[in-house]
Amino acid sequence: MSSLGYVIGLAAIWVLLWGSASAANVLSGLAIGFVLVLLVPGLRRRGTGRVTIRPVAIGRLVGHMLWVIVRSNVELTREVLSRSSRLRTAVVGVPLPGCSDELLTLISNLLALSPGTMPLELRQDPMVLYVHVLHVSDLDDVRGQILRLADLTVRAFGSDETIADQDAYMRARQAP
Amino acid sequence: MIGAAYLALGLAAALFCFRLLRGPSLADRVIGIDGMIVCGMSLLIVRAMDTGIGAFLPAAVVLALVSFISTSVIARFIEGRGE
Amino acid sequence: MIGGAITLLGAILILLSAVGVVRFPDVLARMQALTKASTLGVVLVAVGSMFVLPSANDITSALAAAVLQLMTLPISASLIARATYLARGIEHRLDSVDELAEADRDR
Repeated sequence: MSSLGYVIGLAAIWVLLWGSASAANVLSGLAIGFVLVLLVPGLRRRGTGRVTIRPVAIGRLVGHMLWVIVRSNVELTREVLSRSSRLRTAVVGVPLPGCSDELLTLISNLLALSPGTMPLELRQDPMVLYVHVLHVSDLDDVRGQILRLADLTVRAFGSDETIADQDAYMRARQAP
Repeated sequence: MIGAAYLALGLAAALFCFRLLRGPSLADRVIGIDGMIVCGMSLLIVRAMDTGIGAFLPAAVVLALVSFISTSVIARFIEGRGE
Repeated sequence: MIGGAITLLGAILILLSAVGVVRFPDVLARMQALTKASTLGVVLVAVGSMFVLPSANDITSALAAAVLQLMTLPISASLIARATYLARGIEHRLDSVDELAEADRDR
């Protein structure tokens, strides 16, 4: 069923490029989307997990991202304009157990937009995402922030088993 | 205000060009080019706002796609060659 | 008026990211400066143009450019960041821990 989503998404981009949502544009967009999904092997459905939609959690994730994007630019402004450089860069490993491929992709993209973080590498077994951080004051604090973003994303889009795994992991992390 | 936007974007393009010419590694030059393409896209949009002629705005879309693909290809090249 | 102000804000953000790219001491830090500020800058420039451009055709073209840039710049930036980190010929400087190198050493 996600192939239908791809067809509609491609048709939407086609209509956006042509400017007007006339019948000819929409129909040709759907036709082209359909042909592309048939021909391009990468667009066919072969992911490991289903993606469920939870509107309230998605709203919370979008709110968090908007706040974080604004704050990242304010911090970047201050950093760029300051006399001395306050940067202390590091590469931090964040364990993300039990996330599907789509979730990991989404989390990596959101991290690339968040302040001061850039995903570098994903090593499997155990599943750890390595993130390059611009300003590390306290190592556990940075890991906690990234885990909070991952938590919000999993609660917004993950399946029920992933959320149960995430709950167990967060509980285990909080109980030292 | 459009004039100030032109000035800011022109200055940004000059700074990215400095990084393109100076950057000690290939990755720095890729950052410079990517920044210049971002400036180019924004200048196209600002020019359309200034003159009211929007006929070349699809060029901004093309620039976004071309920059993405070329940056990804150069990333593969850096990874393969190690420099 | 408001469209021009939003576009000017976006242009200033792009200028700040350019200053960051020139000033930051390390290649990975410069990558981050480019990604965060330029993405938001382009989106703001396109949003500002929505108020000024005359026809809906132009507005959707500008919005399509901004949306595509928003979707693709994080991907290409993380690809370059990964390639830069792994490449042996490119020097990058880290001030604090490097857990990936430690994990690789233990492997």
